[in-house]
Amino acid sequence: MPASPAVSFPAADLMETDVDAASDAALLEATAAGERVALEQLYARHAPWLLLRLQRRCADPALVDEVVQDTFVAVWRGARSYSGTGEVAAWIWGIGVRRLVDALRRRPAAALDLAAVPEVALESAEERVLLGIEYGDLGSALNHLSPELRAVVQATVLDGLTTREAGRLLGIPSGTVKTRMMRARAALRQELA
Amino acid sequence: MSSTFSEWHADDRLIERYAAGVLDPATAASVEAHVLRCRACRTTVAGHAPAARLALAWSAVTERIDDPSPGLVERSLRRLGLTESDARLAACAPAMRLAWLAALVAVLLFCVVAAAQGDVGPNLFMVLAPALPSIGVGLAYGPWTDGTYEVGRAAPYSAVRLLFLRTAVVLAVTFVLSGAAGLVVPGHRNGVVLWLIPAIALVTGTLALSAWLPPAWAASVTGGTWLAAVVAYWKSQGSVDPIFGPAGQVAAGVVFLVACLAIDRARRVHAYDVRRFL
Amino acid sequence: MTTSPSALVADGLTKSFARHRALRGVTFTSKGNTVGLLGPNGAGKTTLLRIIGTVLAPDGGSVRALGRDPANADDRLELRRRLGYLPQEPGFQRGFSAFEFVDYVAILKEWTQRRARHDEVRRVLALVDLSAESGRKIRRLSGGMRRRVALAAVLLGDRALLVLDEPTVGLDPEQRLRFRDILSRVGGDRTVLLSTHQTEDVAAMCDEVVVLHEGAVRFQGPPASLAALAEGRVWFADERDPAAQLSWRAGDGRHRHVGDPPAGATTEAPTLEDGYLLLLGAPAQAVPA
Repeated sequence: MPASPAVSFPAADLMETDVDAASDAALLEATAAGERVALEQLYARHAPWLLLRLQRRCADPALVDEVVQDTFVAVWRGARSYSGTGEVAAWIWGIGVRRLVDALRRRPAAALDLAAVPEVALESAEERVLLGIEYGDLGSALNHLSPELRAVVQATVLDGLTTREAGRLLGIPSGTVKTRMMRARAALRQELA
Repeated sequence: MSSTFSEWHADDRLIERYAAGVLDPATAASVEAHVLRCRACRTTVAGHAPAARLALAWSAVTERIDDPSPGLVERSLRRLGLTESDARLAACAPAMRLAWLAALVAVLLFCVVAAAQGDVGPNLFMVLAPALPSIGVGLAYGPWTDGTYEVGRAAPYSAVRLLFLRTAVVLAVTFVLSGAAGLVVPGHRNGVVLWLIPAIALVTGTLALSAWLPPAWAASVTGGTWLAAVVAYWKSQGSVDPIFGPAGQVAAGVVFLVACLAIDRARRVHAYDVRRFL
Repeated sequence: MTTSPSALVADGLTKSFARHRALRGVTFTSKGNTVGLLGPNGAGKTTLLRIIGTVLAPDGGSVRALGRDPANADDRLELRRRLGYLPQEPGFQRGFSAFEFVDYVAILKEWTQRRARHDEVRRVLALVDLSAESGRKIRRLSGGMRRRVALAAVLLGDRALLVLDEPTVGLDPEQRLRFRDILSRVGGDRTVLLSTHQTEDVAAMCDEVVVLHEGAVRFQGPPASLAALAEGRVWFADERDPAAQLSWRAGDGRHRHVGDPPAGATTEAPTLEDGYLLLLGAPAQAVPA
């Protein structure tokens, strides 16, 4: 079988040599220029967390894998549309979660009832610290919300979806998203008061 | 946010529980928000993601990226029933390039505009419209217009099949555009159809000559002969209309039949397959 | 090593373009694995390769490659199925990516199943180390990369005979090294016929050499035999010797001479280039093939 080339040659582009060190934004720029290695590196960096995060919103692993694929094909084709500012990870998430919404619209039965995600009490000190830093009492307030209300908060506030998209993700009409959001706000206000 | 935020990192065990889907929603949400901004924690997360699934998804991504996205012409051809590979070959005809299409549209527009000014326009249209498809065929395949011509010659794919495939595409495009132009050229109620048989005769003649000449030469011969003859007639008679009368149509039909016989003969002796020129 | 029947036979090939007689009766039988076709510009190399590559029909004479006669329709098709041909100036469809171009050629080579074809395209692009650039438009690739794209298309489908027209022209030394490396990797028991006007290519890659000059074969044999033509006819001197057939000033300031040495001169071991230059520089004393 063919061995790897006995001689190495200067890479045609800077990219090939320091792809590991390149920033996400630089990789995205190279991806826009058609550099496969750049996309591969972006995939290595961002596909794992994207897959896990999507998995928490959709119970069907096949559908999640498809959405991960869709997302990176979209990154390849649309790398040019990245504004150049802001976290690349957030940009990729924006693509990914909307692809998930689209995929669920085609296969609504696959939507996961977020209430089914098992809840576990806080245990480690780190987790308390994390909660304290990020949300403070908001964390426990969130955990006290009913699963339906929490799902709406997560979809709109944390995942950055519009009311309509959140409705599609959760399989409920957007009017219901709005009323649940109002109820969630009221509940949180009461809890944090 | 606290200023210590950027120095904090999720530990491996927390991520492991996040990956397993057993974290409470609020903690999970904060992990997610943090991971979005922290490269180190993304790396930790990667250690807990299903590697096999990710590898499979990546190979699917490369397949989809490589898969050439079919253009409009190719998609239409496939809808017409061509196989994926044939549609691809046909759509790659150099004559499908924007430059050629733009030139075609420009010529037809010129005829339409000129027709509004007086007598010259309708005559001009009837002179040019039959020749346009042949010119397209001449550009569709051959040593100078198709960069991959030489590689294609050495490949097993039938050269005559490729030529005819591309001719069909050229005909479809020119007939639609010229037909549309014919509709709006004033003074020719039958302008839409009268040029059709001469056009088909010229294209068939070009294909027949292409067995022995490069298609571009063949198109020059047929198109040049047509233009010279018709323009000369126009000069002497003041109108080209009689050419498109019954006698002219029958003559065009005869040319078509003769060319068809010549093509059949050329195929039998593999004239399209063995080239003495390049 | 060579698969029988003998790989390449040309018998009295003639070809003219208008008044120009490109081939004037080319005859040779080659059994080499990697055959170098050496000759100056205009010697008829490209015409000969086009005929063997089934792109062009000769005016007279015949060819046999892989035991097939391209003048016969069935043989020609069979030969094309087992042939990889690299034109001197491979053209590309404008706007194609490297992948799309190789994919296009793969269709012409009868790969109709899309998935299998794409796998094959990826395989040959990996062979020429262009996997990472496969999505890039060809017009955005460097000259060396473009030649590798063209080479990838040649390698599609495990070809038994590779006909390569000046594959190293325009390549810098590193790229030329890389080309040799690729060729040695895909080598195996396939036959390679390549044209070049660089004697180093022949010395580095070929086990047989055919020298073509003015449309006729001037030499055929192993590279060492071509070099041996100048055996005892290469010498150095401080001054230019007008008696030498060829001479040039070497890097160290001395003059290297090829020809009939004066009495007492110490002769040097000849290189392939010496033999080749001597052969072409002395048209009067044609060396029998």
